[in-house]
Amino acid sequence: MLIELENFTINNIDVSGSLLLEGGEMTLLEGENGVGKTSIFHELNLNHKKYFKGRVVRIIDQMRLSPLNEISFRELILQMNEYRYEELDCFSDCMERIEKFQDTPINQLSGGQNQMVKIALNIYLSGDVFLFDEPLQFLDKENKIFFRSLVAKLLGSNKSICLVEHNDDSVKKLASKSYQVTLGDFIQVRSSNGVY
Amino acid sequence: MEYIDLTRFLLAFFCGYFICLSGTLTQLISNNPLASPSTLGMDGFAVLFVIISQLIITFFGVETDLIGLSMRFFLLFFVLLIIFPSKKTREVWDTLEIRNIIILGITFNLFVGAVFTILQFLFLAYNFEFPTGLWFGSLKIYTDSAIYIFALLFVFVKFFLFTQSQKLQFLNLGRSFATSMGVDIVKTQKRALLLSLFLTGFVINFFGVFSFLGLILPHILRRLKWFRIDMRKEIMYAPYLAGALIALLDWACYYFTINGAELPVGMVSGILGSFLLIGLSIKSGFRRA
Repeated sequence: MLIELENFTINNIDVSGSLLLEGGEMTLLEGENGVGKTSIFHELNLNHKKYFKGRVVRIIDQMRLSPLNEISFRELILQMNEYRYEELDCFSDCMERIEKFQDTPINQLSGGQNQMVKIALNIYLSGDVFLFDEPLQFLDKENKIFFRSLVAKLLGSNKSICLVEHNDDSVKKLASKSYQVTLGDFIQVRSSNGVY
Repeated sequence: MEYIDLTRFLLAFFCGYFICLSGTLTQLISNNPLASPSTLGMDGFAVLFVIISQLIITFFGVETDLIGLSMRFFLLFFVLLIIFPSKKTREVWDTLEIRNIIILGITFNLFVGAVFTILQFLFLAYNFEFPTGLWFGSLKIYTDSAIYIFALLFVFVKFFLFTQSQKLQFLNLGRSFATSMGVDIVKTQKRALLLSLFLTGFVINFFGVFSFLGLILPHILRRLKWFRIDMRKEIMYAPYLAGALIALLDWACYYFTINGAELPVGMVSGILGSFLLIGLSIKSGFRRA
């Protein structure tokens, strides 16, 4: 067992149930829009020291990287080198995907390119747990296929992944377990059998 | 040849330094290149203390200097805000998000502008003295003791930057990224906002409004190769260049008078800076300006 989250609170809303994240496994969070899946991710990200007890967490959500300055990806990873947790083999695959625009200022990239750069940056920095909140937004067909292979490699490196994804079923097939999130007076997380 | 006083030169340097840093911080915490102490209402906030002080001096006949009185009000406000906040203030502050603060700031700026106009009208109608020079930052009037206060603030600012610059660098890449790098973004944003407000208010209380310099200076300096890609360097070192620029411009204002009258450096730097920014924006095809 890597991490067990039990009965926590998000924005004064109680979350009942527990969430088990294990190394080398992908966990799906499922539920309708607005039930609090992203809020759970934000809470996990914001208080990661409390929940993950020293483990390094990376989050890839729908927010763009939008630096004020004209830094490119290549320049960014040079600056971020000192914060790198470990070297992952799959980073070289990411570099191949973003080679064409790695020298373009990040604030001038398209939505899809920006998302790929964000994924590559988090893979470069690496961590124990990856929280993916609709990571396939803005990605084209080829990059979606690439993302699936990336997830498989991360799982092969014993990383723990938690995924929220509404549209792409093929990446969900890599999940080992899923949790259903529902909203009533409180957010409820319960284990479900609906793994693809 | 008459040389400018070293005290004035250093005060002008500190003004440029503080205004530029204040501008960079507001842009960074709001992740908006159009944000500045002027657009976020910080100028209006500081001006309010000067107006209140002028009202007291005029209507109650208090014999004191305007700067001293407005500065005392300004500092008192900060001490009360930081050291003795009421439970209610703490609750409001804790729940405020940066976007709420931006909207409040813009609204407040409009409000102070309107109040200022009405008061100016009333003062003129009753033939009272009104601090109209406030709108054009100038270092023509200063006291030697001001340099010690500015130097002390400078030391505090350097300490703040030493502890916060890395967090601000992460924040430049987005809220979720900064959080995953261990940054408490709400605390970092609010601390930077308070410092920005304090620096702007401090300069305005002493020397008047340096309108929109807080917007222009970071944009101009961000185009230099050294700062173009490194936000930490921009935070740590770009204000030095800004300070030097304002000090030189102030020297020029002091030396090249028009029929004996000295142009306010705030006005000159605003005009030159605007033209420079427009020129640079055209050259770079308006990518981010």
